[in-house]
Amino acid sequence: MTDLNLSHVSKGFGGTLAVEDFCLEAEPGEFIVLVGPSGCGKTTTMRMIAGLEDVTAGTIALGDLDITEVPARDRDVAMVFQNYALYPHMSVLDNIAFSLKMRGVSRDAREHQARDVAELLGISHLLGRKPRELSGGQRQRVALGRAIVRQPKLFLMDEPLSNLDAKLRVAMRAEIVKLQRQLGITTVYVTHDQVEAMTMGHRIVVMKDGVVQQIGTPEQIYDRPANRFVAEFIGTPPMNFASGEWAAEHDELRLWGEPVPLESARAARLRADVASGPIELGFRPEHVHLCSSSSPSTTSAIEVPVHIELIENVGNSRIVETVTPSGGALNAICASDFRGAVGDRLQLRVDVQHLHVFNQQHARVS
Amino acid sequence: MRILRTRASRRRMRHLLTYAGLLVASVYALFPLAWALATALKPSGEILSDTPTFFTAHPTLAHFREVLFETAFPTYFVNSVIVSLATVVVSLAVGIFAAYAISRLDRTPGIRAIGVAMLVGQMVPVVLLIMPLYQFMQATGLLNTYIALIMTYTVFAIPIITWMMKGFFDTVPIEIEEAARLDGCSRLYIVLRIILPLSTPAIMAAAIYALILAWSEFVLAFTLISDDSMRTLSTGVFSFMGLWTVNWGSLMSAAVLIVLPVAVVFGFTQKYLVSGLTAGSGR
Repeated sequence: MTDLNLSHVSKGFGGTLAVEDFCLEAEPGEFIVLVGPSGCGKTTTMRMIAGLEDVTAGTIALGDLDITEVPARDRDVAMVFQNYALYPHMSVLDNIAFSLKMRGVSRDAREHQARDVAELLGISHLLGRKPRELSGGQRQRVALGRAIVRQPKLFLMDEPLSNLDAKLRVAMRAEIVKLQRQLGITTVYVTHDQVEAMTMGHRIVVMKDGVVQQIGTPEQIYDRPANRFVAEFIGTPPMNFASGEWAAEHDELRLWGEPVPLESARAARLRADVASGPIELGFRPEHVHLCSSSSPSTTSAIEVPVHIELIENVGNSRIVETVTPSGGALNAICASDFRGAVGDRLQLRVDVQHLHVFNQQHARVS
Repeated sequence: MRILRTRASRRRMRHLLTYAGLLVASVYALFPLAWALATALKPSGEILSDTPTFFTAHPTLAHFREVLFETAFPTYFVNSVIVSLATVVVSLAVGIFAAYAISRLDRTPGIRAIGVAMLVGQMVPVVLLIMPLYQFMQATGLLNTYIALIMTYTVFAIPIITWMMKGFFDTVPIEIEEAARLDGCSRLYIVLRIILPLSTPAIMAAAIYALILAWSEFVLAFTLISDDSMRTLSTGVFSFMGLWTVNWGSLMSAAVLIVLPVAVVFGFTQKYLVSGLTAGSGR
């Protein structure tokens, strides 16, 4: 059974398509994160689900109900806005209880429910205040409370943490996840922050230029990115890329002039999918090892000489920027006891099993 | 130490200049009113004395008594109240919704053009409109009625009020309305229960604008109303000026009585004119 079903949804503004052929089926209670750079169509998609934006083509269903043409106020969908959008002239209690009032819930009942929600969010002591008397984090909680109180069929959250400071953001991130798991309400969450996407979602939808690039669990997105864009967008520092050469007739893949040892199954896949010629290879910085000297070549790794350009100390690890003789920049994440210095010449080694191969159209083939 | 002192004295100097400027402006603005009040309190003989004084030694309320009990001033007053309040109510009712439409539906074709057209209409001088308006009111049998004045005043007030309110609505984050839509509100409910409570300062300012316009308007009132029992204050008081004589005492006490209600209303609404009510809804 699916709870939220977007089927071939498109949205055009004038002549341009903001969202193109978006398909998604969310299970009940699932936490879906839409992620992508600004202008990728993620917020537009969310606004279409909310009913704040008309759908140009396709259908949106909630449960068994086609809501494509249903007005926003009848969709039973609650949304948390980026700037919270609290009602400035109402107290916190009235803000939280407002949607219940609109649904004809009696004063006693709605105040009771609002107080319960306030307790859940730890804002019981703020109920009498106006939004302008609250801090950013407190407003955020009120906005959440307003969404939670009527137990909607669907939660929509549009970058709700982007106005909070870094520390509060991390705390609220965990809190929202716990809350969502506790309430079990299907949630669509929009963010441009890939860390939020990775940590919060059951599944992630990566978008670019209005087109879905990949839908998958955080593990799938991270370990098996569908294309170069996803590989680059998810992960900090981003995936390293290097140009290789593929000769299908010899089953030979070369990187940095060296042949890459290939398992036969992988070679077969490449032979089937990729024409001979230049090819892109990607590997994550955490799969890179920097060693002081060339070690005896193994069947499972490939090496290139590099020199260190910059070392960033991020506390629990070091991000080391290196450059190959041909000028390619490659990042490595090293342990905090890494002892190299800028200018050092080292060998950079990558495990072949962690190599991602992308074809000429930037799609990942293995 | 020396620097501190010069900075402090410079600040004191700046304050001095600021307040001196404000004082001059206040005197400039308030002197006519003060003179009117002083004159109204003087006995008739003293008003036209060769050596004018500001403060009289024998203040009297005789002129006020005369105006209030021996002239048609109370009738004019009631007429002005009716016409002004109706003007305020009608122009606010129309202006608020027009402003909302222009502010929020600006992607709808034609809406912006209508907004601009409303303002352009304001550019036509009143003198050009007097004759057509007179003929129109005559043809429709509306001469010497409240409706004639209310209609013309609202027509003049609505465009300005619309643009005043539009400017304010533009500053209300659209997300507040979207949140209300998702909370289950209709568009009308959003305007009445979310937008209007937030707009109190702008509404007050608009109401005062319409009130002053209707309360003090002279030319149209003089043209469209000739029946003395229908006159408003501005034209009614004008009739205190006789062909040969001017009863300055009565005229000035009437002037004071005319200004008083507007000043009182302004005093009470002043605190609402302070903006910033939307603070805290967003980040």
